[in-house]
Amino acid sequence: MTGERPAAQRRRRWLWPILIGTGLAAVIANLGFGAFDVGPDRVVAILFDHAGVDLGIEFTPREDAVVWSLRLPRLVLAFFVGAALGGTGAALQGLFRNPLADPQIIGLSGGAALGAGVVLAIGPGVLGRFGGPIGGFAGALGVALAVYTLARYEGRTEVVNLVLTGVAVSAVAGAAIGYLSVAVDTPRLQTALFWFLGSFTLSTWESARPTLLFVAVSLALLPRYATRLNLLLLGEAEARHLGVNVERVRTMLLVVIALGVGGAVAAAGIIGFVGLLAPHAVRLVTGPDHRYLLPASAVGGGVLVLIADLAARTLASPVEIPVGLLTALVGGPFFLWLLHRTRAEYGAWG
Amino acid sequence: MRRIASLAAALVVIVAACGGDDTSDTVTETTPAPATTTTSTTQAPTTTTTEPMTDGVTFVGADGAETVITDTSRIVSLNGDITEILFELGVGDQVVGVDVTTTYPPEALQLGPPLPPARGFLTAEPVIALDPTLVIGDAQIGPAEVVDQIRSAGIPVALIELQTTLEGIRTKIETVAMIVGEEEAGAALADRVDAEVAEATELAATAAEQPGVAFVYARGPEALLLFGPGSPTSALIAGANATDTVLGPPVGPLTPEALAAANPEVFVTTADALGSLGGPDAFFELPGVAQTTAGENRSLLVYDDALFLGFGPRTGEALKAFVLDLHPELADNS
Repeated sequence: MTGERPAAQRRRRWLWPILIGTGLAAVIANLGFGAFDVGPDRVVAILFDHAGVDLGIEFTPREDAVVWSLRLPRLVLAFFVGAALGGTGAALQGLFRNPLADPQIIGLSGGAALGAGVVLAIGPGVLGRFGGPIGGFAGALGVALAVYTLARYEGRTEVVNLVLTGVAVSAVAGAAIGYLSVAVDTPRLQTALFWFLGSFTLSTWESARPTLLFVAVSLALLPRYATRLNLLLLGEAEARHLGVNVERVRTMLLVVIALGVGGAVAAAGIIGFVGLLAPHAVRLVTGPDHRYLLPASAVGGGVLVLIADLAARTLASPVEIPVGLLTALVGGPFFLWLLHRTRAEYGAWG
Repeated sequence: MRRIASLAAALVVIVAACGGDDTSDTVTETTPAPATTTTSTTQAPTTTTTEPMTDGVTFVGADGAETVITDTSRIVSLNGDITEILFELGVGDQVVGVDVTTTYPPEALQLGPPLPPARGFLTAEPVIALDPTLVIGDAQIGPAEVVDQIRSAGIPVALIELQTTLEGIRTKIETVAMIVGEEEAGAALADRVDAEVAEATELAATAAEQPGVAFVYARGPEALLLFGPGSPTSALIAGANATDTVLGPPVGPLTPEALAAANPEVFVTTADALGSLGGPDAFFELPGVAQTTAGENRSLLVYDDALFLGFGPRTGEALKAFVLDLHPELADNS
């Protein structure tokens, strides 16, 4: 926008170098550290070797297999799941005009987990490996539409309504998944607890590919709505006057968000608070303009989950901590602070 | 912003390209998991087929995966009973890692920290970090994705069929022996175990009475299980000339109703299970236990987990102890 203060532009100049620098460091660390340690120099050598460049650094075939076949799919999946959560979180906050909107808190992740769980329980059939993400998408979309309808009041979603609707939906989804894990003898559901807490332990290229597709489509479409989300920030009536087809944008955006959340949850389970932490951190630098906020939140969410997964694999090695526990540990207190601030801003609940 | 969008698009292409590398694996990987659970519970006479090769052994595992084993110099065992068999076969010095279900022999416990519990929470990297040339486990090892991950690091993983009958111990021993290329030692070990089991069952057959027995397993007071017909313990109970009074499935939840229906004269459990409950007193206070005949008489037999549930080299020994506990009057004849 033309009337912007130069300070904001100056700040923004640092955003991408910081994000990319942190991201690359996280990539090297993720590929190198673990129960089986590979030095950073050899990680770089292995990556270049696969690109056809010989750096002259020796590495063993086993190190190559661990980095390339074991950790790389996990890393790529973790980044894209984080990107889906960060990007959709930013979009949800804009769409609901509510700083507390997050895929997990408003129940989308729970709905996606239930949808994917139901597909796994009855068997994906012809859907094959796409069954999980498709079920996740359906669950997330159902919840998104329900929450949007239930939590709105006079053109605005009330904070309390939104959060409480999410609580109720998550509770129902959790109970239903618990029931499935007891009633159905499916190996994947037997590890439901681990999955429910969010984990990348089971990542292989085969299991990751459908999710990557869903998330990629969602992330490619999200920035198209940036300008319209900016106009929606002015208020629905104002946006309508400026030529935005509000109903249509809302429906389409919820579909795009559900694609991302459904794909992410189907592969990694419920990883909470990324959709809050990443957009709010990025917003401090970019300001509220969705043209910058959406892509930066996605990349920021990806980097955040990379760091969280590194901690999940290494803190209690050789035992892995579910990554969702770690994001909740950081995100929970942040959410409380945000809740407090939001209340102060609105003056009272609602 | 268009630049960033195209950057994201480029990333997607790269990812798709990376993923494309191993499309050929898809066919082999979609078949395994579900089929094996059915074969193992229905106890079809082993489906593993083997053919010795000049440069290694080709083994078709319980998960349907074909594994070529050329090097057994560094073995990781994911089951306690398999560890015992490996040591009995004389290849214990080639074992470089075991999981937490391994409690015997003592040498196996000197190998450093055991791998995390195999069932449900096995992760690939601690296994790969041991730099094994061969990983052996049974059909319950999982999740399947983790097995795939270990294989993707170029390490053969041989998963052998579960055995839930006394006759199946021979198959298990011979399969492990074949995998590590010790067929002769395997046949000798299987003969020895068969002879010991036969001695114990023949002794038990001379008993006049068949006491009613129920096997209880627990991992804490919240996870109580009652093993019934079709389970390994049921085979031991039958071998000891006793009656398994549990009506339910091979492994079912322990409820007061199920206990009342079984009404055993003797409870059997393992040391770890009893420990997880907090001892015998806690066991007899479980709902429904006191109302059974065994509960009234406080009749409870406790055995070492690996010894009793292992179905391996020591099963003859375990069965004999079980027979003498159930039929004390036979002690003079043995």
